[in-house]
Amino acid sequence: MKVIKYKIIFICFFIFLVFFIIGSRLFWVQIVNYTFFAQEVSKQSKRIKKTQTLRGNIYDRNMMTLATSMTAESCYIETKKAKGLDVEFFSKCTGMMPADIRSKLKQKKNSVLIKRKLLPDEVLKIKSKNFPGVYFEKEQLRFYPENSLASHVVGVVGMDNKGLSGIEYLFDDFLTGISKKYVVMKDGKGREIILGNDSEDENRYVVLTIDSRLQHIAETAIKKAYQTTNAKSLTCIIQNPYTGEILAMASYPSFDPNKKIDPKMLKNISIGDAFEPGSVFKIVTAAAVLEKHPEVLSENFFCENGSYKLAKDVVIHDHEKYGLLSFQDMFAYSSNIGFAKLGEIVGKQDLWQYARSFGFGMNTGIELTGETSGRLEPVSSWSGVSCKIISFGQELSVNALQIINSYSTIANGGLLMEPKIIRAVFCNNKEIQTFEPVKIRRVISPATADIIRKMLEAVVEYGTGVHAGIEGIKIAGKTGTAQKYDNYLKKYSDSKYVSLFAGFFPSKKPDVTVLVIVDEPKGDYWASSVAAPIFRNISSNILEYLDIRQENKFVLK
Amino acid sequence: MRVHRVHGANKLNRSGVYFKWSIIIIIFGSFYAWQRIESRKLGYKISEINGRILSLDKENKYLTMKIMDITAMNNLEEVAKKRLGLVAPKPSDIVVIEMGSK
Repeated sequence: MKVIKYKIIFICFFIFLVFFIIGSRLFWVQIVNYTFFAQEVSKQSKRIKKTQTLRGNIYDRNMMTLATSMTAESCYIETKKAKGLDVEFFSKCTGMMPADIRSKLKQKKNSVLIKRKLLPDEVLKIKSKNFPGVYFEKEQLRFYPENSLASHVVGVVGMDNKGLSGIEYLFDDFLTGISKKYVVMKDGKGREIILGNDSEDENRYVVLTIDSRLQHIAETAIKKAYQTTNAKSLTCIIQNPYTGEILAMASYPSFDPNKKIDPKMLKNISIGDAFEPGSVFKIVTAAAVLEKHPEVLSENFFCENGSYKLAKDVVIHDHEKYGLLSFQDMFAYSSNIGFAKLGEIVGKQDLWQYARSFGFGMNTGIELTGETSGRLEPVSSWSGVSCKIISFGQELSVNALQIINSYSTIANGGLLMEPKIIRAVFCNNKEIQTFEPVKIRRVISPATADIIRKMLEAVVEYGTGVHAGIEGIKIAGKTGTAQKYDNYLKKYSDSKYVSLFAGFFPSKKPDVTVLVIVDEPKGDYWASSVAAPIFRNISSNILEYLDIRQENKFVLK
Repeated sequence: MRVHRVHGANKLNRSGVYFKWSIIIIIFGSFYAWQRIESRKLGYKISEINGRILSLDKENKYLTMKIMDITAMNNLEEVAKKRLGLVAPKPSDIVVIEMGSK
């Protein structure tokens, strides 16, 4: 009995000892060294995952999406595991040539990149086959739903989602957003639990002043005109004359940012190209004359029957042979000789001063990068005939935005506005930056602007701009045909011209200012027959879209 | 004899207290373990639902982008012109009726 009792005691003692050892160990692990072991566990099971928030969208003024982002996946293959891979199927899913896939698989690497940024349905197709050694990594894909629409303004991003041009470049840091950190816990089976994240999702976006429909109207018209004129390039800008907002900025040839792009195409010629403005510059001379010598308005000028010698080797010509012309008719028929005489009346200093006041020879202040300021030499470096020549738009260079801005100045009654392309910048639906209209300066008085407006109306009514006219609406505008300077021959080219038309409507209280530039049209190059009809085409579509002719009802034939 | 009985009653009382405490500890321990297991299970469920939300969000975004692509102005214009045969009115197709005219 005693032996049994001792045996029981011994077993009990043994069990107690085992539990005591386990308990002691647990006590040591869970209480004494809790912090150390908790950290060890945390190191092994918890991971911090980084994810980049999707790049912010770019919208037009009506919140139509111009650029957006989504998650895509890049496909990799482990070459050793991928023997016997169905290359034909892979090529169907990815759109790659089978030979390209085979050559990638032959590379002496453990893992090869097959294709970047596959779309979700392409990924699903591949995943459904469960190929061994095929894995995916998440990336971002930038998508431009309207394809080439406003591509020069919106810009593009590179393969790594870095902005390369346009708004994408300008707002790169803002649109890229923040990288978000997640704390994830993994169990023995590899299942994940998200424990928390350090910041909330941020919805960042930029709203432009561009109106997609007006942009489409402009792009469609210049694309069509590109085929008929065989020009080197075409540009069209539409602006709100009162706020300076750019409603459309189109140039052709353009590019589709969803496809592979030639870097040369990225240049926005609407702001990056400088050229001689030709007769569209005559509003500056007219403004200077009317402000400084208003008595000239009632005078007639002899236009030398089409040929006028300014200096020994400098002879200027008019398109037609004109005799005596009034100020308004000189403007309507675009007489270079008449304007050379007006330049003489204005004088060097005032002409330079007014050109400068209208914003020529300096950047306009638009938010976009890559703007050329053009060239307006200081008076000190002008030759004896410079004043007369500049009066009708030669011997200086300008960019398209400067021209439309100067016409908007006439349209709004004499105020030079800063052109705007960005309307607002938002973060989590809160406006963090607003771009209010900026008045740069008053250039001319409202009375002078009104006189020039009437002269511009005459251009379209009976002058060089009749092909720009539309029945039922008063349009004010001006043609310009400028010879291009040949840097190689060091003289004006006989075959290269820039054909322009700038105008606004309805002329009394304009809704829009429109500029059309045709660079190096083949064959006919006169603005009256090349640029003016394009302006008319664009304007008639704008009228329908903006419903400008509310007062004059119209019916379709 | 009496003393012995009291001692036995105390022993019984004490073991009853131990028993009660053991039961309480077991109940609380079980509850704690159950709660931990449930919270872990819910964690997995939340993770799974989050994953599904992300994947549905992704799919939704992709489909939205497809809609945007189809309804892009260039595409709409092409469909309107080629498939539906619509034509944009030219300026010459419009007759202006001045206000006040009959």
